[in-house]
Amino acid sequence: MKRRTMSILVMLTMAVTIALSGCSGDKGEQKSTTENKLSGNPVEGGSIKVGISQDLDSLDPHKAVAAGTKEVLFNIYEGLVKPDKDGNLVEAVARSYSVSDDAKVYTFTLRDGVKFHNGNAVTAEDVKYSIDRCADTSNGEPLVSAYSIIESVNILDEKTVEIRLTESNTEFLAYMTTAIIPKDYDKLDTEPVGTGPFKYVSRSPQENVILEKNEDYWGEKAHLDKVEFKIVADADMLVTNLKGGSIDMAMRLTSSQAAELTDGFHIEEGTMNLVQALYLNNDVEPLNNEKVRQALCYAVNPDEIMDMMADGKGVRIGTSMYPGLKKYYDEEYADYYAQDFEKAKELLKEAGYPDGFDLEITVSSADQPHVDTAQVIAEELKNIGVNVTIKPIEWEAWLEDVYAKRDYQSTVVGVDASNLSARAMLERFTSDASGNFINFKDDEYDKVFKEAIAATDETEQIKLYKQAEGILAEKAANVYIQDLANLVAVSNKYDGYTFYPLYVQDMSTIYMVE
Amino acid sequence: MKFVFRKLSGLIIALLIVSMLAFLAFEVIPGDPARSILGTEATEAKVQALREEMGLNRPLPQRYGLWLKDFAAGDMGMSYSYQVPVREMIGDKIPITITLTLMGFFFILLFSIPVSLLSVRYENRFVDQFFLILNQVTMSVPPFFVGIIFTVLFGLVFKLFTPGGYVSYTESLTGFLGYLILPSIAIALPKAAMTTKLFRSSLITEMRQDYVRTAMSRGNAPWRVLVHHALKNGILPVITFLGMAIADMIANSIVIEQVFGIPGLGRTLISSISKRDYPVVEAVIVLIAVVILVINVIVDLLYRKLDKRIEI
Repeated sequence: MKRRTMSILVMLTMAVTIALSGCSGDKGEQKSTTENKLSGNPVEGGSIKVGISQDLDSLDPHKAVAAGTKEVLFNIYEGLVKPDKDGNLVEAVARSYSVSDDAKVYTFTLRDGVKFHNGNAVTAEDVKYSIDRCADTSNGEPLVSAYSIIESVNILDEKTVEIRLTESNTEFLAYMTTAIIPKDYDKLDTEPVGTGPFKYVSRSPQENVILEKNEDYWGEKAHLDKVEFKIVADADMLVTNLKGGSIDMAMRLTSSQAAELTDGFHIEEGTMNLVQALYLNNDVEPLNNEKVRQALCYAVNPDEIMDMMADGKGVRIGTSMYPGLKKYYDEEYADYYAQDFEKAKELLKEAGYPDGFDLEITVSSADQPHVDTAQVIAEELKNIGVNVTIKPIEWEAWLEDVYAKRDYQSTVVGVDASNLSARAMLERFTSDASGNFINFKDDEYDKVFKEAIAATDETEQIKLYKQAEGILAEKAANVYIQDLANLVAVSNKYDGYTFYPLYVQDMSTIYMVE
Repeated sequence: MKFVFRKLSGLIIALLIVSMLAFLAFEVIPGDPARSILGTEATEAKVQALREEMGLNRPLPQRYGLWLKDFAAGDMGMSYSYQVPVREMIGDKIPITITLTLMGFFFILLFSIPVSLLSVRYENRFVDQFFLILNQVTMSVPPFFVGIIFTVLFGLVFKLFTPGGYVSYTESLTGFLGYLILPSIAIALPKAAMTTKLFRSSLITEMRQDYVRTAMSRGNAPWRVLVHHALKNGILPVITFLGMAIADMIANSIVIEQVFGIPGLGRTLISSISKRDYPVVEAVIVLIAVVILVINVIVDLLYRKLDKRIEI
């Protein structure tokens, strides 16, 4: 008995250790806009099975944080406005809206005939409740941080809601995508009710989430009757499952996975809508030296990385803005640093590191694209005498050590935007932003960013944001690489896949073909 | 009575140690459940508020004590990541892993008993040699590899099943059992090979015993002697091994569930560990430990029943 107990203990401990070292999440990735071509005749009805890499973290749209959850919930819930495939915010639950000249009062008129999945019509009360719920500070912090500037939400009449802000904010509309839920409904965690093109049917943890068509949808109704999101935890199993037919569609495949799916599938190519870079801790030696950072930029060639890891797919970028956010993206920064080893060595010499230095790159081990990228970078940096060690860690550990404690030298990761504003990408690099995990501190940047968010004229604002992006490139805040390619495999039985400039999967546009 | 008491106290001590180790493991590894829930968008204040709410700021012994108190009272707590009671969540998963293990056990017996008997009956002849080699090969292949081979071979080449096409037992019982056949064979094969090896040598020893010679000399057919006399005695050492094999298969199911996409306890355990979902991890680990300890007790009892000479 004693010996057996011992072996059981050892076994269980081992099971835990193995699992601990071998798992992680892959977060922070997306896709972009490409037009879809038609093939065959669309048929109404039918069902589809979509492979997703991780289970949903919550069915409550206000509490869900994982990008992988939001992409699914996008089909169930809608806000007053919602993003479209071109990166604009279009009216959803609201029919129209107006913004006061000082950008302090946002007024929304509700659309007629919008019904929740439980059959009730959406009222101004529901809208106020939903926004108040996210702005509630009784637990310390509001659910949506940006809502801390909401002064009040007022019902003007049964179809009109006004939101008053304590300070002017021209980009506040981007935050009005917050899901509208029925007032005082407390079963969102288990039986979500929204207004979207699909309604929730059931879920089984670690297995699947099933949605069905919302026949009463106010807008263009979905084509498919049923959508099943199946959790395929092991990325290596995706291709097998697609080939075997247990799933019909999967997103974010690598180019080698896509190459295997020649028969019975078409591959849609977009981008993930994120900024992949070698993020540098601007606070540690020697990376606190601007010249050292610039030297790294000159030594790394993003095109080479894309060729090595994705057959050249992906979009080269040079600052913290991705092409999907068209309005704010400035192409000119993409080639700010052209590979030049001599110049890089020169800069290192000026900075006092003529013989190079040792650099540690921490990377989340489950994110293969980032691991691959780190490996190419390691080779490239050898040319200027920088000796790289790659430290693979689990995603949860990354979150804690790198992101929260900022205890690292450099890391390869993709940073995305939570909504369609430039602010979502750029605010984190202001000196005291909580998400400024690279410890970037620059007075000029802070000043330009402040002016940008205060600007009430859009052209002026865009100009200022681009100026801020320029500072990030010029000061070499990070070694910018690319917006990763997003390859989506769709069975030839279906078509209509649409890329968005945000991390969402719009299932309503997909239809079966004859 | 004394036996029951001794077993029970052993069980409780083992469970205490197992659950404490799991708690400690989470203390040592990096990662914060509150941050894991809130992701990268959350501010530090928000993370701290959630830590406080979840009681994570309390010292470890106090947290363990509180968990233990609730657990002893039958309250396994709420899953951090699913916001549903742990009991409900793993309640759905237990039948899946148990079925997988039982089917694996069935396949061990199905493969190993006939093969062992054949090998002993025709010792050192062609059949025996053939199975010896086959055994050696099977024993050295890990279940996950067998699983991958099965998936490619039966799933993609012969199209006998749909890889990843798991059917829930609530949907269709036959579909569910059908899908589990290959994964359970995958975890059973190496164990079946080991069982055969052990069973064969144990039977050969028995067949050289005096009582077998006596039975033979009475004119009993060799098959009859093998099945009616030697089998019962020869199976004793194998039973211990089978008990351990079941425990091992539960551990292996963690891996095989991942390969075949079966949403059982193993997958729940792995995903909960990566999300730092302590309540679920603790519950699953304790549950697995209970199952293993119970199997041990059953093995001991069986032993006594089969061989009255054994004291327990």
